Amino acid sequence: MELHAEGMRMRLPRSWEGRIRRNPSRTRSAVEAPGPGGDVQAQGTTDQASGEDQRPVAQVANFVLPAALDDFGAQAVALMDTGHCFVALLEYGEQEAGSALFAGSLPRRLTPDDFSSRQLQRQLPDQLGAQFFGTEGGRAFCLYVVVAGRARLATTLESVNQVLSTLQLEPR
Amino acid sequence: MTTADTDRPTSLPQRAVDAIARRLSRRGLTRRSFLTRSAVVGSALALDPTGLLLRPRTAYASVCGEANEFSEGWSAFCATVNNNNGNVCPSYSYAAGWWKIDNSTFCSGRARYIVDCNRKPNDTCNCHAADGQCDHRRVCCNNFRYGQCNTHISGTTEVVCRIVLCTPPWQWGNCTTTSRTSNTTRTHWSAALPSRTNPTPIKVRWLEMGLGASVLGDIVGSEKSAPEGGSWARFDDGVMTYQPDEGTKMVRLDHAAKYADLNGPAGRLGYPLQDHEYNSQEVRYQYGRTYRVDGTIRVERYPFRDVPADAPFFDEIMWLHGAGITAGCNPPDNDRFCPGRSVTRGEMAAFLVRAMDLTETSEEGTYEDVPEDSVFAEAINRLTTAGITEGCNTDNTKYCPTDHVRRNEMAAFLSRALELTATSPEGRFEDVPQDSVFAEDINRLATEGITRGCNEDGTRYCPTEEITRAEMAAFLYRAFA
Repeated sequence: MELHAEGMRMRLPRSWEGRIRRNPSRTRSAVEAPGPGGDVQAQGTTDQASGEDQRPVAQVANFVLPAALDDFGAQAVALMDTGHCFVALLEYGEQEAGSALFAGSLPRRLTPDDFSSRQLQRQLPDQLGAQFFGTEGGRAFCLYVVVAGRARLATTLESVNQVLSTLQLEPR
Repeated sequence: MTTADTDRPTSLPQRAVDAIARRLSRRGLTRRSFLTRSAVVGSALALDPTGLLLRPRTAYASVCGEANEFSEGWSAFCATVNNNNGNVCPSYSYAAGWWKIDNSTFCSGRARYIVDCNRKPNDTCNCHAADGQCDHRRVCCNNFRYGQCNTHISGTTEVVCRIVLCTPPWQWGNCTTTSRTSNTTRTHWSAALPSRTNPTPIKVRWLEMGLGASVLGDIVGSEKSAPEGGSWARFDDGVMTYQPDEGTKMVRLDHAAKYADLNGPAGRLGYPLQDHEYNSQEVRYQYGRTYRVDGTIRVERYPFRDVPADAPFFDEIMWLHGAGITAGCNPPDNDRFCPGRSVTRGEMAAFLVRAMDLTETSEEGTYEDVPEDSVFAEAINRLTTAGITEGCNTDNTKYCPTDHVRRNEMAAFLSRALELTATSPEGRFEDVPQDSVFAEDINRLATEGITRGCNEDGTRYCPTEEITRAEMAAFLYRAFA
């Protein structure tokens, strides 16, 4: 399956799934109410947050992704089992492109040494992560990869690298 | 009714606290020791009473939200890490990126923003659990970066902790507008932060200033209500006020101490007009100012409760009062000026007589509609004796003292009082016909710069509109000051 949108293109192996999306600008609510489980969430949406810049996010995985997914996939990584991997490619704005953090380009091949149990947004048992920032074609990106199962890291990385090798980022 | 019945708490929160205390006492924790933690339980009940009672979790977990233990992998809040003393990045960290939580009641339905503070590249810190009341999340453990702040710093270091804002980070600090969202973290919180549900504007601003680490220090006591639907709070080193239309303002240090002693915005000074800058020697309020003389803070109160410092014609009305032309509109208190009230011909006489210091009276200065015991009788007589008025009817037997003065009549009064003669083409207004009996007086007033008309571009004079006391102050100021 080929995924192509927002100037991002990649080919996914069988058993993988993914999406490329751009968050809608969420808006201020008219009504506030406690949500489930003590959550505090305003109900209803109408008013665009001022000035924020919504950029596309590609999220792919070799397991079924939940419908609601934060940009770095917090809901997905909580579901991962040994052998699972999650890849997020997040575009940033012109302000970030070419800055010190986003210097260089994104890797198309990862090795076990790139991964650490500490390089995670949320550290969960037996998960390893890797994060890279870079600028390609004038566009700034962050590549974030999470794999589950240290023992099967090398095998899991093969399919991750298969996906990354097909990654094409169209210049702005 | 038995004593036990009388003492029985009736509200849900009271019953809940009591029930929890009983359960804890069976585990060896006394009600007394439990109540030392009741503030946390109270917050938990306010946030999620049914959740607290029905689901197997602690009150602390309800306050700090989901995944609040080290093992659950998330980073801690800086308010916790800073020993309950600051919603700021610790000195060995920097803002490295941000995410938002949509539609947060904490931020009045707008987005709540979380900024990650990552370790500075040349500093060190060790991975450990936060030592909060219930925020036991990770400190210096997760090498991760959201990447929209301080992008001149390359590389990714450990997240030390995270801070909470309602102000978008690109307006708060050196961050960009690229938006990242994590609604999963909606319930994450710390007992060292204000209540997650609908905090007051004062609490939100204090939070964004850094809580106890802010220039105001810690809050002292609780917020108090103030006029106009506002509120105010004392801090160790200042006062913060809130007005629905004006937002929050702060006053600092010894100015604040004096202001608080005078009961803040609920006292005679009213609300501050702007934030008190650190080096400023003066703070202006609606109804006065505090200022420093020889190291001492002094207070000046403006004379009128209904003329704040940001009101139209404030300076002119202050001049009017200072010159002894008006004492106020509500004797004997005379703490109001009634700026929006129309001026009567009787009042007009009193104002002009005082402004011009007229003293002579005469037999010709009496009118059949002005009783001798009228408070305006002497002023009307003096105005007539000076030739500034001849009455209000054709045979000059009446003065009409209770009639309201219109802008065209005001022009006639002032033109005569000042003996104006010069006219100019610039003194014409499109709503003043050339054949009007007031046209010449209005032109003279405009030619002398005493009026600039009644609209923005100065093309109209509104000759038949009644003149207010505030407008009259402006006329008199331009004519006599």
